[in-house]
Amino acid sequence: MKEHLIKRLIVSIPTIIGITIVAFLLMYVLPGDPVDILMAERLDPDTEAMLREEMGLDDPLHQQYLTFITNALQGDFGRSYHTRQPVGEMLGRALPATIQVSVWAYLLSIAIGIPLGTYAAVRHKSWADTGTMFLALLGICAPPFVVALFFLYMLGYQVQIFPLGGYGTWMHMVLPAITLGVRPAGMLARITRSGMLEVLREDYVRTARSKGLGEKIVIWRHALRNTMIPVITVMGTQISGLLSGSVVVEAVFAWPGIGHMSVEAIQARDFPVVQGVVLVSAIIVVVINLLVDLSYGAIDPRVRYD
Amino acid sequence: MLFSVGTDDRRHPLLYNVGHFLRRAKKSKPAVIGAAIVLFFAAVAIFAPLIAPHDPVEQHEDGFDMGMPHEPFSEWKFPLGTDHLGRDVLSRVIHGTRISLFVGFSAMAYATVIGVVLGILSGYFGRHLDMVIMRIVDTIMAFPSFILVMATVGSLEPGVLTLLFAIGIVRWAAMARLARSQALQVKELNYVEAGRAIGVHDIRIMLRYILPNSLAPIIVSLTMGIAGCILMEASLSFLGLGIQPPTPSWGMMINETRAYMFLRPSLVFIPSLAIAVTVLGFSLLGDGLRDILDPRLRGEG
Repeated sequence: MKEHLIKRLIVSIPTIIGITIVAFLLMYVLPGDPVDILMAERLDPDTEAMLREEMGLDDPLHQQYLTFITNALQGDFGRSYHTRQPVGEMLGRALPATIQVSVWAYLLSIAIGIPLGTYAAVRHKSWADTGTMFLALLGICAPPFVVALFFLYMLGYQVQIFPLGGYGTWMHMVLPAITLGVRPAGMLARITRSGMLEVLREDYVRTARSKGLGEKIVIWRHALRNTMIPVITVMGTQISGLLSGSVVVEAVFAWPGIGHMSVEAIQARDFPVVQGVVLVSAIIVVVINLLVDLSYGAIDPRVRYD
Repeated sequence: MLFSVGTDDRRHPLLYNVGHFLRRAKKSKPAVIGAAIVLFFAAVAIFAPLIAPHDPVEQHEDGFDMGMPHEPFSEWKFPLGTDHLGRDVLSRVIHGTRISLFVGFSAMAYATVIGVVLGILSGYFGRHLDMVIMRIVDTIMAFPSFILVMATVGSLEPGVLTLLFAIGIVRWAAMARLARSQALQVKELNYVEAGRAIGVHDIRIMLRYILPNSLAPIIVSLTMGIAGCILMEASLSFLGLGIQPPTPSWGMMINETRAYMFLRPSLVFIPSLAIAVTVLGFSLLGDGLRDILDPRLRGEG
C-alpha cells in the first residue's frame, strides 16, 4: 500500500510539471506580451521598459519559467491586470463556490444516476430500460448551457420558484447544482447499468438468489456493491467534467466560482487569472484522481497494489 | 499457419465484409436512428444554400410585426420566425448546421490522425518513445478539457482555425491512449509476430497489420468525439469565444438572443434543439457502432 502510494506520487510528478509548462506557455503564446496588454493606451516607452524589466520579460524563456514555478510554489500567481488583486486571493475566494456547487451536483447525480441505472439493469430489455437509457443519453447530450437556460426558463421564470442567478441562500444553489448534475447523472446511470448487467450474471448472485434471499437484498447488497468499482473509476474523469461544465453553468447563473471568473477573465484578456484557473483546476484533477486510485483498496479488499 | 499472413485474417471483419456489417447494423436500433439523424444533418449542411429560404445574415425590413420579431409558424415567409434583428431563424439554423458539422468533423479528424499515429507508434515501439508520448497525453488529460480549450482560444485570435486547433489539442490525447492500448494488444498476436519473422518492415506492420485491427474502437471513439466537439464549439460560441458574428453558429445564435429569452423563448430553444438532436445523433450512432463492432458485447441487447 505504502509502496503503491509512493509509486503513484512519483508517476504524477511529470504530469504536474507538464501542467505547469502548459499553463506557462499559454501566457507565452499570447500575441504581444503582458506589458502590451497592461499598457493598452497610455504608452510611455520608459515606463514600459521598466515594467518589462521588473516582470522579467527580457529574461530567457527557461529563466521566466523557473521564476513562474518558484512564485507559484509560494502561492504567488501574479496579479490581475484589472482588479490588481493577487490571483491567489481571487482563486481562494472563488474556489469554495465552485467546490460547493460541484459537490452538490455530484451528490445529486449519484442519488439519481445509480438508482436509475440499477432499475434499468433489473428491467433489462424492457420499455423501462430503453426509456431510462434514452433519458440518460439525453442528459449526456444536452449542452450544459441549454439545460441551464431550460431550467432558468421553466423554474425561474414560468414557475417562479428559484432565483434567476446569484449567490447567497440555498435557493440560489438549486438550479446550478441540478444543471451541473444532469450530465454526470446520465453517465452514472449508463455505467451502473452495464456494470450491474455483468454482475447479475455472476455465480455469487445466483447463489444469493438460490439460498432464498429477497430480490431487494440481492440487488442492493450483493450486486450493487460489486458494481461500484467501474463507477468509482469514472469518478476521476467526472471531476474533470464537472469543472469543465461549471464554466458555462456558472456563467449563466452568475455563480461566483472559478468558472465564471475564468470566462470574465478571458473576455477581458486578463491572463494571470486565466493562467491561475488553468493551473489550479488541473492540479485538483490530478490530486483527486490520485485519491480515487487509492480508494480502490478501501472499497474492494481484493485489490492488491503490486 | 505461420505463413497465412497475406490472407484475410489480418483485417478486421468490418473491412472485408461490408454486407455482414450492414446486416448487423440494421438490427441495432440506436445505430439506425443515429445514422438517420447524422445523414439528415449532413444533407442539410451540404445543401444549405439550396434549402435555406433566405440569406442567413440578411436583416429583413418586414421581419417585424409591430416592433416584435415574428413568432414561429405565424408567417409563411419566415417559417420559424425572425430574430431580434429581423433575420430568418430557419435560414440561420440551416446554415448553422454547416459550422457545427464542419468544426465537429475537422477538429475530430485531425485529432484522430495525430492521436492514432502517436498512439500506435507509442504502443508498437514502447520504451522511451512510449514514456515520452504517454506523459504528454497524461498532462493534456489532466486539464478539465473545456477550461484548457477556452484558455487556448482566449490566448489566440478568435476564429474557426483557432477553434479547430484548440479543440484538436485536447482531443488527440484520448485517441492516442486508445490507439496505444489497441496496438499493445494487436502486436502480441501471432500474425504480427509472423510478419516480423518474415522480415516485414515496421512501418508496413503498423499500417497493414496493426492499424486495420485497431480500427473498430477508434471508429466508435471518433463518432462519439464528433459529438463532443460539436458540444464544445456550441459552448464556446455561446460564451462569445468561438465562431464570431455574422457567421451563424447555433451556440452564437443562443448567445445573441439570450437577452430576449423570456420574451421570445423560441429564439433560444430552436437552436438548442438543433444542437441537442445533432449531438444525440452522433452519440446514438457511436453507441450502435460499439454494440456492433465490440465482440465482447455481442449477443447482448
